[in-house]
Amino acid sequence: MQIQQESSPHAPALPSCGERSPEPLIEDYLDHVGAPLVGRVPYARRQRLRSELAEHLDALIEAREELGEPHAEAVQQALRQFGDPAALGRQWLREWDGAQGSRETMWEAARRGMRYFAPAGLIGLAVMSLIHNSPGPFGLSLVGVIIPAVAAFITGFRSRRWAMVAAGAGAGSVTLLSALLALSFPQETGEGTFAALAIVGLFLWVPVSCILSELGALTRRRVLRRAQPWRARQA
Amino acid sequence: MDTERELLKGNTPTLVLAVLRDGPLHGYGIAREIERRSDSTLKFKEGTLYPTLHGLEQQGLILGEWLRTDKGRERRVYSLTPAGLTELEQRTQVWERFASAIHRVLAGAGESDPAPEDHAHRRGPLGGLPGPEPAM
Repeated sequence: MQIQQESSPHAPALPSCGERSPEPLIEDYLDHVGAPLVGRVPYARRQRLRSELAEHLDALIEAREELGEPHAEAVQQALRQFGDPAALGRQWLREWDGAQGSRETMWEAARRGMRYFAPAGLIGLAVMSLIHNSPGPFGLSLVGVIIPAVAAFITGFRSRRWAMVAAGAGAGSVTLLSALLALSFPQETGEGTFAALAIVGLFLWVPVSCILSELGALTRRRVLRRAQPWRARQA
Repeated sequence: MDTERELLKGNTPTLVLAVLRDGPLHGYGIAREIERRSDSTLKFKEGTLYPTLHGLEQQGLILGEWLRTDKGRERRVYSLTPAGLTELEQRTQVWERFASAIHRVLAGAGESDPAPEDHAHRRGPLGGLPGPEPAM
């Protein structure tokens, strides 16, 4: 069996092989490799890895059989040559997490929160300030609440680590900024606004943002776990 | 041997880049080529190639493509990117410097006894105070 696009003349010719029925030992081995990845890596990506490993194992087994080894022995030896499946799965997951940014430090997560979540918080604050100065329809005040709430949820959904830190840093920075502005312009903002913003921000908005962000992170993990075909068949 | 295994584990990405410099290969081909070039000295658990390949691909040092074989099956073939070639050259330089330094240290351990006029600075058997003169 030759690869159609052979741009590498020195590629070793793969042993000829036809379509093989699934080998139970190989399937079990691949299941063990994939086990640590479930819920962490999307299903499509896991399947691609599984296909790649299966192809390599097939080639190893065929090469051994061509040297005269019985099929059962060739399968055993090929699996041994491939390595411990659980360790392989964990190693692959480490590479995946690293590539996806799960090695993000707490400080990097905080910066991410201030960069992406804080603007939504500022928009919400601006809307609430507008309503405070000139009361408008109730829907507008809802908008002022919903925008930062949704932003907090999305921040958590897109975080692999430190979801609460990202949202907390974003909410905290907006609280600090708004309180400082109120302190700097007391006549424009009114007496006691600084204290009110600081208290509401620290004891209400920051904790609520952290909780919503964590909910987003939990939702992400559930979505990944649910992306499995056997669950669809059960439904 | 554990030492060999640890040395190989840390250098597998470099070996993969070196093999791919000569042309695109699939995972099985990469493993066989490493084995061939090293005269079967370098043997590793072949499944560990794939996390390495994934890591290199994420760093943009190699590019993986799915190609369809004559039998209609798909196989992933990897090729070196320009960034990968640059990285390989840097790693090669680092490795050559490192290997040369290790070799010099190892070669130094097998040096003969110091010249007779150097007795004042001669160390004892345990590197401490000079011991008695050896019997001639």
